[in-house]
Amino acid sequence: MLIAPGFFAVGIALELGFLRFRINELTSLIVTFGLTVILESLIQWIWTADFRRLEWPYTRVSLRLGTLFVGLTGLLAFGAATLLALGTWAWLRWSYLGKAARASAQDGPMAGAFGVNRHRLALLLAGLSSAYAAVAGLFIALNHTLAPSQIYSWIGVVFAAVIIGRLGNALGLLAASVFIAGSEALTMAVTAPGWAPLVSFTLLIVILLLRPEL
Amino acid sequence: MSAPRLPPALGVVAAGLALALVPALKLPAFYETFLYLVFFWVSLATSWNILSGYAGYFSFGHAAFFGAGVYTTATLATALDVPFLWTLPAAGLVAALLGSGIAAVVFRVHGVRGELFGLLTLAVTFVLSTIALNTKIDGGPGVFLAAVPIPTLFGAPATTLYHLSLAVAVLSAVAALAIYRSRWGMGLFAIRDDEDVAEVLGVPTYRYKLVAFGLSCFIAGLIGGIHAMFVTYVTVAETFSVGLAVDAIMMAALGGTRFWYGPALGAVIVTSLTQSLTGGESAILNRALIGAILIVVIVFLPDGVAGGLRRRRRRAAVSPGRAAPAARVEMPREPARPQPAAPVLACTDVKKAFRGLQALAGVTLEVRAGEILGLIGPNGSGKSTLINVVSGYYRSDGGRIALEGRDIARLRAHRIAGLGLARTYQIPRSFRRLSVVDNVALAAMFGGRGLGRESGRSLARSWLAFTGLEAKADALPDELNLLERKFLDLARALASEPRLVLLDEVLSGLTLTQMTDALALVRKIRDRGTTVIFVEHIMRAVLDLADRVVVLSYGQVIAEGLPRHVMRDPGVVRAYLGKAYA
Amino acid sequence: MLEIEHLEVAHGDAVAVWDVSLKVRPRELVTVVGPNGAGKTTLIDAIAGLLPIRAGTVRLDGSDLAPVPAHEVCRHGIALVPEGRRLFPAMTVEENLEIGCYARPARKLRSQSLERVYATFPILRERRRQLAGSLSGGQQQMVAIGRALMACPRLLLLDEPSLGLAPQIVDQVFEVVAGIHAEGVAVLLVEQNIVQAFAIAARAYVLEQGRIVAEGAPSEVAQDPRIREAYLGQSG
Repeated sequence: MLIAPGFFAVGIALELGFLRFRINELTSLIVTFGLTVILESLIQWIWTADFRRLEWPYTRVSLRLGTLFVGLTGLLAFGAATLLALGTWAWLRWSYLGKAARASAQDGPMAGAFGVNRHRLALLLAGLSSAYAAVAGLFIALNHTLAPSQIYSWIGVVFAAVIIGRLGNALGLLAASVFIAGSEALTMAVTAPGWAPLVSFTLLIVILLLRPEL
Repeated sequence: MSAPRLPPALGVVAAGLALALVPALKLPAFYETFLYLVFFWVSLATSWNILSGYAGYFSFGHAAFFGAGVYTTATLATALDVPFLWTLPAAGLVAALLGSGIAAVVFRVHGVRGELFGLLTLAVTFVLSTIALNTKIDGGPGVFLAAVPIPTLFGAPATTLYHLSLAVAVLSAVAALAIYRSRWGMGLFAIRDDEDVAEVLGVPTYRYKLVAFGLSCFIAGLIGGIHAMFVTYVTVAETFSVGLAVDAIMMAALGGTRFWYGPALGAVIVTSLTQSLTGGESAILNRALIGAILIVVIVFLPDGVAGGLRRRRRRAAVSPGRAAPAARVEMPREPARPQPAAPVLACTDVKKAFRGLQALAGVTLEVRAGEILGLIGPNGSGKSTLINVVSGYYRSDGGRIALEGRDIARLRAHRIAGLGLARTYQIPRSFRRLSVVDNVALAAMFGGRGLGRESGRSLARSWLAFTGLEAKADALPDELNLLERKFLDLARALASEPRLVLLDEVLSGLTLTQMTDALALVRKIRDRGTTVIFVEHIMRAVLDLADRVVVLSYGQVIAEGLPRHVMRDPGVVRAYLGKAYA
Repeated sequence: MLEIEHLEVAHGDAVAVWDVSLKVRPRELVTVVGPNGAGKTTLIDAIAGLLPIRAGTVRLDGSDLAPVPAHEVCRHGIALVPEGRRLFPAMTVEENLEIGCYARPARKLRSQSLERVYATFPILRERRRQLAGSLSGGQQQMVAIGRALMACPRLLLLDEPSLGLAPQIVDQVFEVVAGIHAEGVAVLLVEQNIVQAFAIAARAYVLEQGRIVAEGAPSEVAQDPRIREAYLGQSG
């Protein structure tokens, strides 16, 4: 349970660094890639390049819902994701800080004029996004086999979900993720499993072309 | 002028020839392999940079086109028994066609820039890899190429691959250099800085980006085909790996994306570091080291290593007194243009509304050739909207706009610019990464006359002399003060030899002395035969400068005529000061 | 209450406001008029902390506002109604108003403040859940003023409230401003529309090209030929 707060701190540190050196968006992308490479190496050094699996007592437990069998860990992951999405949405909708975040995104200086400390808000959001990623990583670890080379295969899915869910809307994001996973699973069931990513990415391309305004 | 340097193209070819002789030295195989890798990464990084570095459209899908090349060769060589060498051009072509096809569609969509383009190209990688994995192209187990014969041109088959990859690396470097030096390259750099303004100045943005991307994919495909033979066993996972694209990007960024040799430099540095740190446990950590180096470099030297080197050289070169004043280039003496009978600009009942607010409610006015027309009105009266509508930035909702008789109401901004209309912006929008002279040269090159790079530059220098900026020709726009930047905007607007210039609040922010200079320049512009419309608030300046004045209020013309008369018109007084004063 | 002396504000290297000195006493309604481009918005933004001050001082009740960061200015009792309204378009009317009382001291009084705003602008109560971006210009102006009122200010800064509004709506807006002033809030009103501004102000300044060229009671300033000069150049 130390993971989330730990990564929260990492996110904040990163954002502080970005602000201090006044790094623009594209450069920050490259810096993040650099970090990815570093981490990949470190992971490989510490844990070797083999595939590993995080085991916990409930890995093989399945629940029965009618005629379907649902893996417990998968269910937990879904539950956690839903909770986080709903919680985030609620926080953005009803709390002062959440409203401040939304206002800042629409007109930063005006939000500042009414008392929103944008610097601290940016740090908070960076930390949160890191923490969320860490939680996601935890569930990926529980549900899939891991290898350092796997890191990159998740980038695409994340981006796809965000774009399809229209950057900024927590509920849309949840719906989008369900949609992607659903379409992949359906494709896997109907045709060969390998075709699954094709569906989600083709969807992504089509949507980006039809509605690039975000 | 600095000491004459070896033309870079010659340098590249010479280096290439020298490297071609290395296999004759009969060194251990390790060296040939190392150099092969260098050529491999140089090709990938440089080809990526051609679109992404020059024009700023970061593509994360380079692996997709590389992979297309790999699998074209693999498929042709194994399934169809095509001789290896013939598969290579096919590999390049397939990749190029794929890339161009995607680009043709994507670049049409106006909003796809920056991160969106990156994501789209990333998606392409996944789509292609899925297709390869699930069809007969690969099918899962990968493709074995060990049985494919490689022609032995200079000894061992491996040497052939060495020379082929060297050829591709040289090709990519030469291509990058040639583009960098050409009109095309200048256009791409302008696109990176400010695509909208570039378009208005006449740069064919769509075409330039498309061909750049096609070329970039072609080279990636070529090296892919070669690499297929090098590894002799290709799998989807290894080929279509996002990590490959990321590595190429990092190398280009490390070396400097703004330079033709930057990616090559980065590729050499990273590959050398990777190789030199092999052995034992550190082999794995060396990638971490490279990642760390990249971060440090990019934070402190945003333009990469090449950028850092360039900055050192500039600092040495730009010392006071060293620059000999360039010989004053005489401006092409234009014969006084016969004043045409028709007005230069005629607006008839122009309307424009924004979400319920009627910004222009039927504007009718005329601008005569050779005059300076002042366009004034209270805040919110529609002056800026009118400028934006006339220049094509906004589409009018109704009415007619005629430039020298031609209807321009339905034309897009760059077409209107091509017909002889230029504008400046209230906050100067220069191309920040191009030098002052190149900013103006761009307009000269892509404006009506379509000049080449050298003649564009010399014409630019004469325009800079006209505006008094010739001493700062090689500086960057950020090094100029506000007045100079406004004059740069003006010089750029004039370089396309427009019939009509629209000045949007050119005096805002200037001190009184600066204003006098600016007014003098505007008069000089008119004296050359260009018609001027200027929007201004500073009334004394309007009275001083304008031949005629048009007053807008709530989107309509309420008065026009000589400045002194208009200012006393009761309607105008009411518009500005309210009923009590009229 | 508000004392500005020899203020100089620049945008980059373009100086927009030079050597401006003005005062607003408690409960006073002071207006600064001038043609556009004169620097009125720059002046207001500098007071509200949105722009850095190059020279001169801005004091509120004696304490210097220059080192105060933008997000703390409203804690000192200053609220801004900016030029062009600048609401948060994707948030509801009520949410926009709530941002107004984001600062802690004002937050405690949220319910009362909200009631007062709805009493002043009944139409906003009807539309409290409507997205701010879909309102008309006049309604948006009311939300902007309401948002500032939610901060329980002692000094209200208004930047060209009449901009882009139809004449009847402008009348309403100025009535509201006068009403707010009547309740004891000091107001610094920056305007292009002289008639309306002079009708409700106790004192007036005229700003032309970044400098104060006239000041005094509205009735005197109105007669001053310099005001015509400022707006219309040399005429008459």
